[in-house]
Amino acid sequence: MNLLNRFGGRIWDPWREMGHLQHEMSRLLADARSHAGTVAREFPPVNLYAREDDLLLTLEMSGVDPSQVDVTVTGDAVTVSSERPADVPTEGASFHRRERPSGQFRRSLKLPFEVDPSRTEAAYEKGILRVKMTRPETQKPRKISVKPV
Amino acid sequence: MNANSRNQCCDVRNEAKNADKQESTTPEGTERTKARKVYVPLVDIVETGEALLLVADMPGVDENGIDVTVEKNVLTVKGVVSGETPEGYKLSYEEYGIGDYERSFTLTNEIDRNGITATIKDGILKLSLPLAKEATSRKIAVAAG
Repeated sequence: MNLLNRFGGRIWDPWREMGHLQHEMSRLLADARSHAGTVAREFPPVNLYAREDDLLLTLEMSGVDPSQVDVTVTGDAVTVSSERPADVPTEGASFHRRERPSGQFRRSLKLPFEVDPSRTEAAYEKGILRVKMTRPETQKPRKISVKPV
Repeated sequence: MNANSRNQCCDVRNEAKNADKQESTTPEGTERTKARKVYVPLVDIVETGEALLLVADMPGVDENGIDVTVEKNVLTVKGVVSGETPEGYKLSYEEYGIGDYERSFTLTNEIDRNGITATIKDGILKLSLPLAKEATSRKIAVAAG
């Protein structure tokens, strides 16, 4: 760089050109990807967190009535279903933009281990549903101590 | 009132797609000061007889983390999400990223800026932008010279 700059003024810098090219390429690729956006996004998106004996499932589902949410746990599977209202008047109104998904939804997930349905808790706050699940006592991994003979 | 001009009422700075959560962009060559992801919230914008209703999905945001500003003709909504990976847990499967929200819209003069109201519940921001009573477009009589 210094070598080039020593000549002063704007001279052709192949590294900068390459940088531009790279930037342009990634922009084009990002564009192409987002237009291919018909890869339906599942609603609601979920995250799953785990620690030794607990699992925490979080779902981004704003605007859902918590009393209308069904959470079912069987063995190592969890299902969450509900309905999301449109929240906007649809009759006699003209849409400028309609990006938010609405209607009935249902998500099922397989969990990394079996959980105890009776110890499952769900809470809804700020549009996020948190489902906490715990491994049943009988399934907890036991540590076997090795005795010297 | 002219229906065509109303349709240009809200022009969107950051285009959101219906795919995954889109990250909000900054002008080229600049970065945010906070090293945290910022997403573009999905919105519905609908025009009723007397107002423009803007509904934005901002899960994780409550009334303490929301910021709605109108500066000149730009309406900006920002939402701060608190909460990261819960204590003691490790992320084992991820479909959405956690970050703040930001999106801007340009307003036309047809919006009565002083009458804008906002509420947030269950992660949904609802903004009501009343249309100005008087149409701003005036017809100018042209006399033959």
